[in-house]
Amino acid sequence: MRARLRQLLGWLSRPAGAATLFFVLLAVWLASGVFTVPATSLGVTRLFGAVTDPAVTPGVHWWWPAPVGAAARVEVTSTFTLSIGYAAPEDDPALASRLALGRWLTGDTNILELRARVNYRIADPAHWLLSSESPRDVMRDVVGSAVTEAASALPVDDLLTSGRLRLAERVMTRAQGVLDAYGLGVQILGVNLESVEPPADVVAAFQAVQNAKADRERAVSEAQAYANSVLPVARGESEKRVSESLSFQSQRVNAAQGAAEAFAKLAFEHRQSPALLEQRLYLEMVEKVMPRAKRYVLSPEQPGELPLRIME
Amino acid sequence: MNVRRAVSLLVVLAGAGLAAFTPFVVEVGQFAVVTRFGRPVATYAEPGLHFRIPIVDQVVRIDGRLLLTEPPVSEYLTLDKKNVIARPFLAWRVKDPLRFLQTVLLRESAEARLSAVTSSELGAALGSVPFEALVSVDPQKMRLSKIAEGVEQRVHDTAAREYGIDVVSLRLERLAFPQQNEAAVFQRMRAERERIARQFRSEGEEASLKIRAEADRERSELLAEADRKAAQIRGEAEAEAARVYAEALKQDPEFFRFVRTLESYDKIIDDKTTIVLPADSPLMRTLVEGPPGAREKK
Repeated sequence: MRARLRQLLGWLSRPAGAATLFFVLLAVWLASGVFTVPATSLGVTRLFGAVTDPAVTPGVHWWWPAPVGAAARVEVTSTFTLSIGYAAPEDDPALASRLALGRWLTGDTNILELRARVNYRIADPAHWLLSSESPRDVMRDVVGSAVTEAASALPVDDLLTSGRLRLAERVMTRAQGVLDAYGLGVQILGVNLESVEPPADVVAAFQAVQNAKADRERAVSEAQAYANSVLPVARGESEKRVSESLSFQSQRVNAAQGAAEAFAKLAFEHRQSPALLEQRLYLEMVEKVMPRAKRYVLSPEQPGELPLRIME
Repeated sequence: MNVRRAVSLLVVLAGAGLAAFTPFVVEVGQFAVVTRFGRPVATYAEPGLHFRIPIVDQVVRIDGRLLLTEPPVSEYLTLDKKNVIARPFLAWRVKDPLRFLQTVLLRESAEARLSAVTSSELGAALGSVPFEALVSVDPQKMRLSKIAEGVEQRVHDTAAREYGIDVVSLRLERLAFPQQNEAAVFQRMRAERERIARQFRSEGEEASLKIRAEADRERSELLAEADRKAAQIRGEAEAEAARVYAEALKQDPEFFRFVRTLESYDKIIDDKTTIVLPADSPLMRTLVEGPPGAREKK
């Protein structure tokens, strides 16, 4: 064993041996420069610290290994997510518990709890890798400040309802502008406000407002239901009254016409034999009327008090 | 022999020369300051391969990337004596490596100084504006961005002048209330919500009453209109009937008077009426004396 080692050292001490070893090591070092860039990524190569290619396309490549050069890969097609309002800032534990809740001030000095997710992708791999020490932390703070700026200019009722989209838009534009100025090589794809809620201390009061709003809507719809039930009835009733009067009209006119015709016929008869008809009509009426009344007949041959007595 | 000596001399000289210029790499986003016995002799801002004399020269590397500093969160007082918590952050990079090296040297001390400057500038700025300049729905009053920019400008100038630092931006990540004030804010929020809830309820009542009153009014209008129409139609009907009737009666008024008189007996005479008939009245005479023909025969 020891003899073998001595033999190897002896071989290495000869110029030919040393040269062989040197070339073998050189070959191994050069071979370590082979790197692959996946389809989802771009590569960044550097030579003596300076960037030589900021966007090496996917595939198998060779570049000088360390310490001469360096090669790195950055995923550029993936979407990354940054959460806002979930994690606590670490610097002040007492404050952290409350800032952790993601509380922001609104324009009308209310407090709201906001949670958002920021989706972003790496637009410039070289900048993302090399221009900042901790790009994600920078992004988190920048987005936080954009939320602060936007939320402290909007009233709480807006933020809880229609203003959510506006807030997300403002945050996105503002944060992207600042990040571009920093040269972070990042592109914000969207800001999703996952929740905008009043803190637990006041959530009941906000719920009461929602209930009151629902009450208002209910009162209005009940009144409308009343109107909707009353008006058709009134329309029906008025139509009924008009049509009643119309039927009265036809009845009345027809009756009049009937009576007129009847009279005309009677009058015609009367012209034929006036005395006879008059006699008949008279007797008919007497027959009709007389049975109802009390009747007394006085004889003209018996004048005196008797009729008066009978009448008593 | 002479040649051999010359060659070996050359090899030694070349070796010494190479040793005199030991290579070192300056990475992108990095500054390198070469100091000779502690005294800076060269500054490299560009990435690449550079040389130095070994032992004599030292290379000090300074991070030239964008760095993030979050000064400790603290409480400030606005002009109108309201407590507010501000959480600033700075994004900065070294601009003048030599100055940076001479004044702060280490990143930790740079951050400490930046934090101190930020705190005092922020305190001064927030102390000179009312609270509603920070938080307001009125764009005229709202000056948060401007205030932050002013602080940024002053911190930037100080840092550039004193420490060779370029403050790229200073922003407020958060504004918040201290715990003891938060309770008062919640109290106010609750009161505000109650007011809004009451308003919603009375608005609902108002709208409801209005809609109902409107419906009632419309209903009575509809009915009144219908009654008017009906009365008009009835009147016309009466007029028409009267006209038709009168037309017929005009043919024989005398006979009509007779018929009508008979009809009125029907109405006048009921079961309370007592009629006294003289026996010689035309009605009774036939009963008593027999038919006119029989009378004459007798």
